[in-house]
Amino acid sequence: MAANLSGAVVNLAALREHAKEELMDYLDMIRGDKELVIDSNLTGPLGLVTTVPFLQQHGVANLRKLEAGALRDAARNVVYITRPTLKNMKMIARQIRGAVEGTHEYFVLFAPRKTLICERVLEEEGVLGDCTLFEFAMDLIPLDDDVLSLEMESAFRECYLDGDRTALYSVATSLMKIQAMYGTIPHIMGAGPAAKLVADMMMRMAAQSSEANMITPEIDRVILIDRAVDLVTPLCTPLTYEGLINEEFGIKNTFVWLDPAMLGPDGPSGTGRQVKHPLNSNDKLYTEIRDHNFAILGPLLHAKAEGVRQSYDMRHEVQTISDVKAYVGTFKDAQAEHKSLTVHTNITEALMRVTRADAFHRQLEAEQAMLNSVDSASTVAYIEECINKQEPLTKVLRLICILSLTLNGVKSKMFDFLRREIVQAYGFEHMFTLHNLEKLGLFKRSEGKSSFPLLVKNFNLLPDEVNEADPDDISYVFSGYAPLSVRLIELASRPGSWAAIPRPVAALIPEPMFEAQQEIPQGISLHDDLPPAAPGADPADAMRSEAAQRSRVTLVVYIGGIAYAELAAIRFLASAATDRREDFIVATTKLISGRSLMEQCMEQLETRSVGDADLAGASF
Amino acid sequence: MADTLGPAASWKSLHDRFYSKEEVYEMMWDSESINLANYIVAAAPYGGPIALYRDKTKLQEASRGRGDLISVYTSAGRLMAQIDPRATSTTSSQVVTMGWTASAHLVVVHEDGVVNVYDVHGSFVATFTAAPDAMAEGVFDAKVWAGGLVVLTTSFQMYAVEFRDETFAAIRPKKLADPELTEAPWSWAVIPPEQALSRSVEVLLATKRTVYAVDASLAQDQVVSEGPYVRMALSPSGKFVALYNAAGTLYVHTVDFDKNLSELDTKKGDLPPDQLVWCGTDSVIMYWNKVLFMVGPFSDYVNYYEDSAAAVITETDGVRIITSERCQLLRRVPNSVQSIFALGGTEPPALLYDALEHYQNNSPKAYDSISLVRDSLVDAVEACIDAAGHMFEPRLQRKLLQAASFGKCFLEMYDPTKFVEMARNLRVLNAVRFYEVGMPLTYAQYLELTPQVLINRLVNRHHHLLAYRICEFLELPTDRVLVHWACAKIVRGMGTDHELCQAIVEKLAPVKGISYVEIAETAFRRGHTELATSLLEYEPRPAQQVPLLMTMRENELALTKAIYSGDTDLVYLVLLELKQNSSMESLFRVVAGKPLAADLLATYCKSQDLEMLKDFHYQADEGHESANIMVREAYAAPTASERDRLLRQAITFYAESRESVFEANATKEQLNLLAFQTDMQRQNPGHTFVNLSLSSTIYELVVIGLVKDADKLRKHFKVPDKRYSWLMVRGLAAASNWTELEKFASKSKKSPIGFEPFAQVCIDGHVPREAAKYIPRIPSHDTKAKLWAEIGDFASAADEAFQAENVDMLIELERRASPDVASRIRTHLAKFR
Repeated sequence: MAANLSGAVVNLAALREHAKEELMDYLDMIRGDKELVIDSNLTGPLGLVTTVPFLQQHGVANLRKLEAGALRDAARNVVYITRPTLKNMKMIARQIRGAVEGTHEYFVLFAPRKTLICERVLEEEGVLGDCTLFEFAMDLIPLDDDVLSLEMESAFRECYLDGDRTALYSVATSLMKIQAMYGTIPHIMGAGPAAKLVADMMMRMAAQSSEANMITPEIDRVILIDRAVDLVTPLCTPLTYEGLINEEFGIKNTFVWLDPAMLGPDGPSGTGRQVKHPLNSNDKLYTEIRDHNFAILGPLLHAKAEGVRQSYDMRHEVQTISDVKAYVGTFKDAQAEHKSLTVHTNITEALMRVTRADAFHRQLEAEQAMLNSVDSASTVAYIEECINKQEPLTKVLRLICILSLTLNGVKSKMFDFLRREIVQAYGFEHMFTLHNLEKLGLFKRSEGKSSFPLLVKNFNLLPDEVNEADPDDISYVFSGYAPLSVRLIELASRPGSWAAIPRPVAALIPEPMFEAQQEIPQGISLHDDLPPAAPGADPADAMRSEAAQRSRVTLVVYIGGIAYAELAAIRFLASAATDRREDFIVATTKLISGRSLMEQCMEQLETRSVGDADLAGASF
Repeated sequence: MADTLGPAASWKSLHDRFYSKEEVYEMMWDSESINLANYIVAAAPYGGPIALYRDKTKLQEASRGRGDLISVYTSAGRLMAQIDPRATSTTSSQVVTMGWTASAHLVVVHEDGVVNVYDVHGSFVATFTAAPDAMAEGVFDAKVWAGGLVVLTTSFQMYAVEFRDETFAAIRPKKLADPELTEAPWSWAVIPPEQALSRSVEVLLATKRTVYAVDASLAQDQVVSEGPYVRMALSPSGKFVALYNAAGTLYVHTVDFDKNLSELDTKKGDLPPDQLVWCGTDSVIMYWNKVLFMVGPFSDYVNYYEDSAAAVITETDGVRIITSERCQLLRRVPNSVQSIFALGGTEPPALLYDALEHYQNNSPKAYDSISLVRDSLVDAVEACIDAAGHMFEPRLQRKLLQAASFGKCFLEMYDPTKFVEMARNLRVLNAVRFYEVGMPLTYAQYLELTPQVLINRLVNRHHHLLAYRICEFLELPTDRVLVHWACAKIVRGMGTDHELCQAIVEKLAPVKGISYVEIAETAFRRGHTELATSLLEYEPRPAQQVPLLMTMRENELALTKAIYSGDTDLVYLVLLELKQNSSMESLFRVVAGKPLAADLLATYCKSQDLEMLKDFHYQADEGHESANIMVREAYAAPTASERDRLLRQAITFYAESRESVFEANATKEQLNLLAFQTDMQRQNPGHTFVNLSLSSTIYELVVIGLVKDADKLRKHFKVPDKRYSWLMVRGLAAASNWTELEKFASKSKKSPIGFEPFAQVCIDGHVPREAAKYIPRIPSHDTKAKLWAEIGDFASAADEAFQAENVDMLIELERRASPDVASRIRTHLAKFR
């Protein structure tokens, strides 16, 4: 069900095979039946590189999630696959200590790397001697033809809030792996402090290797984007089809959970439980419509349905044997399309119920007002009403963050008011959430004049005209707002690249913006702007220019996560650039939404349920 | 054959093959004073060094001043080192035996079981005890092989030691099975693990008339009966064993004693040979006083005579013979050499070689010879190339390569790779054979040893420049050589730290990715701490740099480097090490001013050590953070009173900072709220309030009809009217308490949230009649129209839409309304046309 990756510009399937083979080697090494206990953050990623039958072939008797509580009825060999987090180590330790000694053999596979700190915690918990530790280097996982993800759920929070830069190190090592497989990437660009740290690490890691990488580069350029460069974009409501699906249903590792009725009459029925449906480029119709603005989806699907109906109707015109053959072919395609069409029509209808509602319009209005830096009083009134109605906290937090980001902080009185309102409405623990947002600079007290209008003006983030049906600019993804991060990528492909951005304008973005070249060993041909070889030229010349003939491939790396709207905008850049022959591959720590970004910043307090007996002494 | 008699003159034939013996070096040592018969001799294979030690069991002339030293020479007899075997050891007992390891370390076994290891320069490397019991019993004999040793104690117990690495650390002697001997074995041999079938050490012991095979678990009689076998030797391949019995017969068996391959009566009777060694893998040499008696696989034999006592050393392709005067090689003549130089040979390679000579003499016969071999010219060329490799004499090497080259001219397509490679290899071989270096490597040995190992051996002997040139020449990485050179330079200690550092960096800097850690470590161990630190600056791999800095107690620098690397795990390595081995104060001091380290320490403590985290924040003057922890602890507290105590404590901490006024107030309010919630929970069994937010508490109270209590909360916590109104409206609607809702609406003329929410909750609660009460109180005509339409009152809706001049809505309403209302709408609409 995972994407078949047949449309990728470089062979991304190799990455998946790599991970699969490594896992297979570990499983085969452990003799006998195995109980696989998987970190819930890894079930999704693992599902993209392997399948249950495959695991069974390699001796996995049972699969379960890693959760608190004892291991009951587990096979003799217990194999944990886990992220190197302290919380997981404690859970594992408790399970090992809880089991009868000598009944199990324990193996811990750390993905993507085994860390000292985890080893230490296992030691402190007294179970290090009981388990064998391995490193399972599954890092970048292909989600689709053009998307790679480290699937690190909370990379944003760890890097920017906790000050734990492990994710940056993982980004750097995974990019080194990419280069080991697809050749040294000659040109490195980046924006933002985290991008600079990653680039520096990559340079240092390259200096450590004593052997030159002799693989002909398949990727010509990497652009590192620090999420901190553009925090507004992921907080806004995306208006592309895929973006809205993620808003309303939540896409997890390229899958969405739907009511069975939505899959059409052929879908599984009866149970009423939600079913998993893949959303990737295996679905031709989805590939076509995923990045469209939702406003035009209704008419588009209608036209598609008409097409399907026509091809069904063709059966009346079938006369000869060869007609039948041709018809069966188109019929099959039409059938597949029909099935997909049913699903997407149902999803679209469900989404329309949301987008037609007043609430949705008011939210968009508020967002537009903030982006345009107008009428903040009525925006605040709207936010206050959301709080009063106790609408989902993530929605409220998104709004106050956009407000603060566009205004460069909220006026002191308003800041105190909103904080008090949120704590009283949503609970005391969110005092910490607000503290986190302040620490991240997402929601803060006013710090003078905002530069956001300048950013809007100089990068043309709010172009006057938007054409949703036949877009000519990336701003279509938000019906009129162009994501800054993608604008930067667009500018990088223009003549003069980032050097052409005037200094005072570049200074509006978190520093630094940088470009660097990596040394390529002699004798390796690079993609460049040489004219293609003339007909009849020396075949060696033709071979040499083969690299020059293919389109330029850029790897865009979003550190801290990328929103679906940004992904759509980048794909738009590639499709609009057919004459410039440009391909993009996107790599990121995680695909995010405004909601998931806010969830990362939220704090929960672990409470012990205080029983009535304990309350005797308390009084008001 | 024009070239006089050629190399074949000295060949001796043994059945169908020839053997050649040639002198490689005249020994550089003082031949007069060295009589090898009086020494224990240990020579490393592959042309390696020779160690000599005066044999105490032999009658000696008066000592000539060298005393009891072990002398180490090259194969050419150049003195490399002298070792006093008792100087560095804890023992004063006799040397039993010596041997060389694969890494060219000299292993010296003493009678009391102490084993000392030295490098080729005689520097002491390690010491260990080979057998726990041997200390008391004493060592009777020992055998050293390339990867370990076996000692035989005086009570005939055996212990095996295997070397893991070049540090000879973590040595664990393993006891072998007890062969239950009552008298010393006649002879014995060790089968190294890599050659043993069981992949662990085995020993062959000759006792009584048979041989025992002993491993760790059992001693097995091999049931042979021609013993006693007084001499025994294992072939270099480990597949065969040669045995000499007391009756003077030589036997060759397979190592499992299944087959007797050969048998020869030497007619020497009961005088056993001084040495029994293998010559390559297919012939055996017995040595009696200056005479070599060589037996081939078909039991033919041949004798060689030496001028003085000889040490015969097995090589993979022959033997090396060391006498007082010279170093010689005795080996089977390779086929290619034989095909060219055999007397009267007419094989194609010989003809090609002839052709070259004719050509060089301007003789037309050259072309006759060439035309004779035309059909097998490729083979002839390759034979000449191969033969060149086997030659020691550069003149012959050159001539053979010329012959090959000459032959090549007559071939249309010939891949020159073999030729080029051989020329290259010969340059390397000639360089290491040079008598100052003194490694008489044959081509076959070189191939087996591999260039990498050869380079290691050269650097171990401090031939750094030569090794470096060979690396460059063979396009091998030079890292090893340079690092070894730098370490050796530091050990020799020529110059100041600064000069040393400069000299080293100058040489190493051009090499990408070269590691400085080993060099820095050497400097540190030798007491040059500053040099070590400066060298580590150049190390590109933080993962190696940081641990060494920790060993050097350069904690602060280690932490800085770890942070710089971006590898958080490395930062943890330093932090955890410090946490374990130094005071909390010094840990905090090192971390101060390093935000990344501080954050990581906090992350770790949050999970593992909350107390430490509090101390950490406290000393860093971060009262706010300490208070945060207290709040967390409060929530995890087992009792309400404990919880409240911690919350109060947190409030005092928050109150200390102006930054956390908000938190202080919020916590105070929470404390009050919790008390109220607890109270309410007690008064209303079955309802849960504790840990709800203030808004949710008010809402719940309204739902269950405790509006008075809700109002109490409103006043106490100064809830804004708007929010309170929303909570009332939502709560009352949820309880379907429409009367109360109406009362609440009529409390004041103007509701702080307007009346739309009232109407909306009634619509959502499916009570349109209630909704109708509030719709008129809404000011906006548009909103009114929309809500009227929602409850199906299209007439009112149309009126409002008309007021609002909302044509779109009128059209929409017209479509949905009943015919009479619709006609009224049409009249409205007409007014806009």
